[in-house]
Amino acid sequence: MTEKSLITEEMRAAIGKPLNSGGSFEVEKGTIRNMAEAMNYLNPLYLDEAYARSKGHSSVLAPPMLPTYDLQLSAPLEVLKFPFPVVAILHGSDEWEFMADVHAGDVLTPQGKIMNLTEKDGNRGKMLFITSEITYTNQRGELVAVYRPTEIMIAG
Amino acid sequence: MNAPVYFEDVTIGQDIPHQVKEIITTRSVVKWAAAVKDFYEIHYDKDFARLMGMPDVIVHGPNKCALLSRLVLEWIGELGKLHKLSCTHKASNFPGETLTCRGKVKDKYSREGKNYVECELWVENQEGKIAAPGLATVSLPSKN
Repeated sequence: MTEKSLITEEMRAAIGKPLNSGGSFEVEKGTIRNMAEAMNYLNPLYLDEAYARSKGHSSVLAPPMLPTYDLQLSAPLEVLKFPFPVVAILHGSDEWEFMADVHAGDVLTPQGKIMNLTEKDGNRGKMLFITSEITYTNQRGELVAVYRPTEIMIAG
Repeated sequence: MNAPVYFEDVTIGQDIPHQVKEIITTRSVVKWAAAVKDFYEIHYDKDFARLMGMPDVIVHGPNKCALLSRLVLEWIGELGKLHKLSCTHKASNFPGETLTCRGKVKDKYSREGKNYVECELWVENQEGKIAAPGLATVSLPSKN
């Protein structure tokens, strides 16, 4: 029996091509507070503008993963035409690099691409691992963070 | 705020002298969903989660990654910097579980005027089952 690959030539050709990762967005104080509360981390740098300024920040600081606010994790699904039914999607891993602080008032621009496609056999069937890379640039053109998530498609 | 941690205070092989412990509730999962606008139904619709073979709604992987960032940032304080953080999601977690984030110092070195510390981190549940092993690189101030 020949095992058919989950990865088509068309899918391979999508590696490295830009993804629809969402448009530019302004980092708002309320968004920062929501994330701080969701991780139960009430750091005054995130919540208290006067305190943040007293420590040399331009406004309240954002928690490290704030750039993923409104992230279109499903963006790879728009460009990959799977030759198999997807029965479940799992979030496999996260990898972050942080280059510069992000503050309220900053405008971030995400830009993603697919980095790698790998298939594996798992206990729930064949799995396709999709690793993408999203870079976040601020209004001054500075790269502030790079995020490399891996999503796992379970094939039916 | 804790006393600042200096590069000289850190020893390779030591445990990170700090932990983050969180009891997971449906509310805490939904708060994360709202904070990052991730409305995949597996995180708030129990019927949908069961169709996907889960016993209940599941904690977002990035939420666990964020808890690991909190562990590191609470430990190093405002003088330290977080440069890299990664984690792999090995197991799903559900409301009712208690997650604890812990870590160990793997390596320390100075390069280009900065004092780096590499740490092994993980999220474990109340049974000690590791749900998300990870790595972090931070830099710390020096006493010199």
